[in-house]
Amino acid sequence: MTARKTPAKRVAAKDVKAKVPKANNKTKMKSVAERAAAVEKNLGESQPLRDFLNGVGWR
Amino acid sequence: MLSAGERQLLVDQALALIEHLYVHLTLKRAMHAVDPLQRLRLLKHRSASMSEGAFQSELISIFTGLRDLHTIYILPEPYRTRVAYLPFRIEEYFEGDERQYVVTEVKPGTEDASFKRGVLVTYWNGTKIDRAVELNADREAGSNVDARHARGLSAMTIRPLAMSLPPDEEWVMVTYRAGSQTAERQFYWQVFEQGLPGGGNDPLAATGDLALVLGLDAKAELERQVRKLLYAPEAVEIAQRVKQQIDPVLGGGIDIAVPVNFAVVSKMPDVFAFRRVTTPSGQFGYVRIHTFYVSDDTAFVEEFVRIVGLLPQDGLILDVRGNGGGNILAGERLLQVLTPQSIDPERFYFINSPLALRICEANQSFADWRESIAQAVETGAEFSHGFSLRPVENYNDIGQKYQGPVVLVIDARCYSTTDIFSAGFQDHGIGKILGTSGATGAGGANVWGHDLLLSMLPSTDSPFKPLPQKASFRVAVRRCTRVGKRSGTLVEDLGVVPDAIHRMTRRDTLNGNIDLINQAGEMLATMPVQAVAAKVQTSVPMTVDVTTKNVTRLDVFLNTRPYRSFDVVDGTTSIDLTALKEGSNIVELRGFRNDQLVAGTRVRL
Repeated sequence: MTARKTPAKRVAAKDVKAKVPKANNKTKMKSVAERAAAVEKNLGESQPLRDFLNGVGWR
Repeated sequence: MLSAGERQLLVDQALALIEHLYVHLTLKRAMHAVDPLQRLRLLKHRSASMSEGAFQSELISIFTGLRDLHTIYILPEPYRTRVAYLPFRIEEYFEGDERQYVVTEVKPGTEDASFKRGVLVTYWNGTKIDRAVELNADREAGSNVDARHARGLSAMTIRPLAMSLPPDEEWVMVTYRAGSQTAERQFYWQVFEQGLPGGGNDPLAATGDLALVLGLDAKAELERQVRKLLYAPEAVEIAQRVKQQIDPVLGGGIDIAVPVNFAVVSKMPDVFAFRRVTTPSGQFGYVRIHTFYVSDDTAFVEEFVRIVGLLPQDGLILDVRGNGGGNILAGERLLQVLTPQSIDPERFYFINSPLALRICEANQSFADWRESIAQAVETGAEFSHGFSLRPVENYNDIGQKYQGPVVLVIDARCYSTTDIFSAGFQDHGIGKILGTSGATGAGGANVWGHDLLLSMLPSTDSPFKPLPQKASFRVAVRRCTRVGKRSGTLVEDLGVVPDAIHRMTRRDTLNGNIDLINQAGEMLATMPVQAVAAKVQTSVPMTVDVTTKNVTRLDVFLNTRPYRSFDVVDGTTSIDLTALKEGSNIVELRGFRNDQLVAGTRVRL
């Protein structure tokens, strides 16, 4: 008597996680510090809102 | 600070625009019970005694009250180029019927062991977060409830001072939940000067032909660019590398050790992102269109065609959430590559006024509109006749390039060109629409800047005068209506209603929109897949081998004239081309199923 083949376990569609690869237009940066430095460079200088509004005579 | 005379000038110019050119004035008065003209007259009367902040706030508020993200007051320098921000982003998802507000981005260097991506914000300066967003939404110009809510949420942490009231508070005390712990943290609003290191165009400075065909929520576009600067240094870098690779002279001298692979990265990385996604329902293409704000609509469509050629042909998820629009021609001309149907572009209408007539008489580009505006004195009509922005052929000059089924994903932040694109998608039956909101943002018009109007009527008797310190206005000048079954329906204030709604989940906000993509995949799996592909054989006579899938009839047109018609099954059909003319020829192949046109392609010989 041959052993009965166990049917492949069916997985409900809702339980299958979509495989969403990471976005392709990303480059790898090494560390939080490196990312933080890149952001600061891109932003340029920031100042507190209070100082800005006082400077332009808003209030 | 503005002088008293400069304030008067600003209000006078606002009055001229709203009273004589603003195409939605009647609609906005009816729908939102507003009287911008009287408010402007009062402001003019009182402006001399007002503080700088009070004057600017009232002028912003008058424009915001129109609930029209097109029609805006752009503040002078130094506000024009400044953006106030908090160093994190909040998005929402649903648990049952309850909205949850989750931190999805934190400016690098700001995180700590407790406050990081994934924490839930519960209170905002002691006010329940849902109420705080609601209060903020009231200060925003979205034209329907969903749009106002989305704008209110976005403005919780980013305020372009060119168009927004600055926050009343100098700092925010955020109460948040991290796991089972509740904690508080104080954040100070910061201000920086917006540049464009991430690529893209300045949304406040559309020039050339783009200025004439603008359909843009400038604030949304600015916020998008700011978020990129704050949270995505990698995306900024890739944009710079692409620019350098495509044009080393203009690219700014970035060293490219490893060239960008355009099989996985768009040549317009600020505009498109794409990838394959594997869902329980199958593998599909996924394209995100971040913006339609491009100066070259042909290059935009060509890059889209290149991208979809790299992706699976059995289904496409086209995600335009958060897209504030841009170049209307880019949006409308893109439709043709997704359908075998001829595209009927939306019609645009001026308000009938002596000023609109004067502009149309001074510019040959608007000759089509002249006659009906001139007739208004006799007809009493409120609006001109409607015409497309360009001749209809311009919207059908490329033809279908993606033949698989398409699901379009929209939300309430979609605006203007994106509204128009979504409306065209629905009106031409291109595919199904999945929304994370009940409607798009509902901006249905072509918007012009004050600087453009000044250049159109430069004479000394022009109603338009130069504005101080780079202040400006934008005004909706041509409203648009839909086509097909919804012919004549306004886009403004109504927007596009999706076929199905997906409520964002926590996994969506923190894990690449995974549930949203799965639902889009489920929708795609129910839609038929078909194909008509052609391969030219350079024999004598020349033949075209046409491979068909899931079509039952193939019609062949040679140089726009009927040539052959076949009943077909899946497989390849060879067609002899014995009637070619000298020079170039175009073979057009149209595939039908149950007498419905379902796929088409063109071959240029």
